[in-house]
Amino acid sequence: MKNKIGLDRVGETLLLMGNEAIARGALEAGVSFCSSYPGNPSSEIMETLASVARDLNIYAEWSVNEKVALEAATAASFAGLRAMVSMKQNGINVVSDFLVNLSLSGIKGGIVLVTCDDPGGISSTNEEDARFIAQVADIPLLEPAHPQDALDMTRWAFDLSETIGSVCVLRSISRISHTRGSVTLGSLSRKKRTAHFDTSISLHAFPVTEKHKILHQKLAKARELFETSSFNSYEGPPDDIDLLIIACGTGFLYAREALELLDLTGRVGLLKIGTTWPLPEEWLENHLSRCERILFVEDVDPFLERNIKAFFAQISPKLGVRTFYGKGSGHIPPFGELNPDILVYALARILDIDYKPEDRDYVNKAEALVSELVPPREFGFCPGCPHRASFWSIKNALKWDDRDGFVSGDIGCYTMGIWPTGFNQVKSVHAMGSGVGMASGYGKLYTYGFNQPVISVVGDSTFFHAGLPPLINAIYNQANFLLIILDNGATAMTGFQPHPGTGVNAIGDRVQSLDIASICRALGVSVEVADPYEIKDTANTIYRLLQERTGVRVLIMKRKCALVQKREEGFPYRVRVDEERCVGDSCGCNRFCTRVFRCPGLIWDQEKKKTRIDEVICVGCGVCTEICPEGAIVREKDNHE
Amino acid sequence: MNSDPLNLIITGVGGQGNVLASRIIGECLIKKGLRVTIGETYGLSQRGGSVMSHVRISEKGTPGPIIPRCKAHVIVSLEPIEALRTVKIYGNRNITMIVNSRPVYPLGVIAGEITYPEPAKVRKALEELSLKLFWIPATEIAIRLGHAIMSNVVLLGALAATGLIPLERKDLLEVLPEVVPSSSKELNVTALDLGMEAVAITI
Amino acid sequence: MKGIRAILAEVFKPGLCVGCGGCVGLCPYISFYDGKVIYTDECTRDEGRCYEVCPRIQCSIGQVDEEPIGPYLAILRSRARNTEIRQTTQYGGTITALILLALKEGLIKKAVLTSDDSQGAPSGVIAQTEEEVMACSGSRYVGAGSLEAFNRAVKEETIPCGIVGLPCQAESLRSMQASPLSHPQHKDSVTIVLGLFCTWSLDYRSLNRFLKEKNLKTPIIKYDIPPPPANVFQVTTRDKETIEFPLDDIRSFVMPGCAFCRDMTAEKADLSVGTVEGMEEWNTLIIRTKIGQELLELADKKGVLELEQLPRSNLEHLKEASLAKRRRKPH
Repeated sequence: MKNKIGLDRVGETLLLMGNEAIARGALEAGVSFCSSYPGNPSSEIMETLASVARDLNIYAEWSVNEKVALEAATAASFAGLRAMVSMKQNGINVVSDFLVNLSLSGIKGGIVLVTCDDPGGISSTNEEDARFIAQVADIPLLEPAHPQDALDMTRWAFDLSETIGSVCVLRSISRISHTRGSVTLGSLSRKKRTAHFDTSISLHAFPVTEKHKILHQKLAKARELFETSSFNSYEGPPDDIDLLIIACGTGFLYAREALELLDLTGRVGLLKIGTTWPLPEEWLENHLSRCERILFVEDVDPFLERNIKAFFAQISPKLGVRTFYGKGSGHIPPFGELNPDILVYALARILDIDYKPEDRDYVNKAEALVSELVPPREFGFCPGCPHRASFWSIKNALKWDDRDGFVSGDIGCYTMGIWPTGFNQVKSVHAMGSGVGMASGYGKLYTYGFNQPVISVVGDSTFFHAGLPPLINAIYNQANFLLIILDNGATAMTGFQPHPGTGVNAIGDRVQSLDIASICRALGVSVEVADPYEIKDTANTIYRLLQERTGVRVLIMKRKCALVQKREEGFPYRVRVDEERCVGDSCGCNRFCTRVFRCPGLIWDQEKKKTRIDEVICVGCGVCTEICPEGAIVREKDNHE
Repeated sequence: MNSDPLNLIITGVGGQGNVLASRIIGECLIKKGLRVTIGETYGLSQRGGSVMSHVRISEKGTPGPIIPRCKAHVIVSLEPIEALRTVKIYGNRNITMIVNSRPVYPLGVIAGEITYPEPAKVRKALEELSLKLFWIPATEIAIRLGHAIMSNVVLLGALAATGLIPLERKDLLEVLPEVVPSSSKELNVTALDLGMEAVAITI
Repeated sequence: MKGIRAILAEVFKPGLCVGCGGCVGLCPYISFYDGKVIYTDECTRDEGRCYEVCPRIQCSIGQVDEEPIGPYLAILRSRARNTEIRQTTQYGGTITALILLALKEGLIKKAVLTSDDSQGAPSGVIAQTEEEVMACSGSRYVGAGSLEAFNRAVKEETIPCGIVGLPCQAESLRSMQASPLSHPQHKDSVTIVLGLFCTWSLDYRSLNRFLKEKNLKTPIIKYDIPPPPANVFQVTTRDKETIEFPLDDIRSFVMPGCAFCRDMTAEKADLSVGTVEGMEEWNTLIIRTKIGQELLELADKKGVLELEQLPRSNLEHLKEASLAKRRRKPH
């Protein structure tokens, strides 16, 4: 579907995803420079901007990692341009070192730093609340509640950032970034800026204390602007309320819906706060005086809750006693994603209301039928995925080796190596590049009796992002392990974004491709390249490399992501099962392909007691023909496509 | 609309075209001046897991991205057991369900560790839990057209035919060309009509 | 009947697998790789051929009060008349001569032997020509998994095979023939079993690691343990250099599973062949079955082997050694 966010149609209402709304907000604010590293739920912000970059004459790049993204964007700011950097919550940890210094030096052109947090860890290894960064770096924080808010806030965040001379953080969450909603467009910025660095000044953190003092003055200025911000509002009875809800993000919409479901709109006030750091204290004080009972609603950490409680401690002599409900009181869980029902039950508990969404009989019947009938659905590599084949070879090589070897994992689709789809080969996963760093450590434990071989697996994009420093560390410190780079030619997990090894940049230009093998060779290690689909040869290669007991060995397993392959050229084979040859469950097979290899394209036919191919799912990679002990899975060249 | 917001859920398995279906509906409705919120759950779910879109339609406000428990009006499911999984949380006595009869087997089923329930049992359970069930061989229809992936468009046709949400054939015809490649436009319209037909027969 | 879980519990986990290869190649779950039998994935069957053929489970030999060298029709000493064979092989060349004869006369179509793979690890070989047979001569003293080659050879159809193997391998083949689970082509293809005397086998990977640590890089073409009192283990490299190690250095590589074996002379074979104390040019030859006898008669008729009476003192010595293995207690 064609991207509409570049349309210059003021007042038109479009169906936009939160991330598109953020991108549109930046365009309306006159952003010139956009940079990002892919990570769900943030990736579509950059994808959207990149898709209109050429037409609207803005610069858009996929950076090698989040820190570099912010550094590059800062250059634009120092030269007087507006810049936006977007990332998922993990990226905030990566940028933090630079950011805490940048906040002291201050900026020129407005910089908006977007973090898309992932409550519930829907597409993440954690559900970190990245709002902490606003307090650590002493910079303002805005939190939209829905896509329209996201557009409006992003646009305003640039003005705010430029007015006070600080980076401004916009915090989205999955339920905004990946939600489509009605969004009314404003006008695109017509302002043209010229980039120039003013050499009469210098931008740095010295003298530190003085700069820190100035930073707090900037925060005070932000606070002043927040006092009258239209992103903060109150709805509900003007007085005599039983409870005041203070909500930010989508929690505001959940609270509003919960009040309607419980018919409480006449008894409970709802305070929406969009400017969550620094707190608009006077505005808050006015509302805190409305009522003695306060409920906080926000996703993941009690950020607002703690800060408002701390602020209230200062003004309590004036206002008297308050009872606070929220994560601290146990009415809202301090983990997992919010939803309207959590709010409904919290309110019902506080206000002693009996609530049932549907009659008990129906609910009981539904629960009974589902528990009787519905099997769980586990995650799996796509049909044709090179990672399934790679982990198959890794598994076999480690088994053959028989020294209890294991895989130190990393971030990407191949993280799923922790599950049966990757034959449970991956034994630890943490942050980008950390699998390599940890392998570097395991590789030095041999003097303590550690005699297990270690394989570190890292994807191509992750290798560029954070895999190089730990690899250099391992080489320098003579650590002993096998580094396998699973090169599928894309940042697949987040939607096939290009990276330095792909030869394409964010806007689709052909650029120099950085060859991973050459980079590793230049670091002085031996490098081999294997094809994951050649499972026998590749397993033999892995085994052989495991026997070499000195230093880092690098094996690049190179094969294009199956989804990309399917889209671009398709697969060469039509696969079928020769029923005569298939021995199914009997001794000699025991459903090896369906039970052990577990590609979703292979189906165990309960009635025939044979394997068959699911023609809707099978893509025709042909790898399974290699594993059948009876040669019953047959592949034929498919001339159809 | 009988309710505001009107709550529709589209569910299925990653890769079935769930998100595209919800987006087509959203584009249709927004063209009619309605306000729409579509909350989508994906991420890792794309890799064989369950996916779900909450489509909420309003004449006035901004609905939240998550439908409260038991408050869905219509569930469209691209896969039988995903329909059951969803109705357990969001269903009620008055719900209508439009369900593709073709299973996508979970890996555990493929591996023979767990069993997939008999389709007849799933259908009966769904009938028991809904006011009205449309059990549609959408994938089979789509395979006949040569593209299994078009099962989502078949179900969109079915949804339009029920008249349960303000979505008509002409709305879909307007939006489809923006979404599908021009080469497959005609096939998609056929898929849409076959979906509508399937519902007409059932009614 | 039992399956892979029992083998895992009773054989693999306690480290008692001796690498005969009888269970290898019957299914995708057990493979022989770099000199070792490896269980790679979880099989869930309750009964399996793997259990049926495992000589560490299906062991019928070894009562101390039985005839210490098992049942036999005659005992001779023998050697190949062809001196070329004698020069290539380690001792009398009896096995090589018999296999070549059986192939030539069409008694068997394939011979299952042991050789080294490209990496130097032992592995089963299916030989059909004189050249292929000659390439496999010599002793290895390591678990070679060579029955994998038999399972491979007969995967599709019945093919008369002559199999040369250690006592454990002969035992495995007989179990395979007797098991109701075996496929007909496995039962029917076992045509001639030529057994080798064996005191114990070494774990190839441990030995290989040891030799590597001793910087022996070129492939080893010959292993030998000269008779007592030498008490050494000899290896000969491709450059014809022979290096000796104290036997005690090697003993720790003896496979633990060998400690449970009571069979020195391959009692389940048709013909069993070993060395003769003090006579390097000769083999001891035990004729055990009618099949063995017929092959030997043919060999005599065709003038392939020189056959003589085994001196009484050698027979006594053989029985003594065999009884010693019977009395061995697992450590």
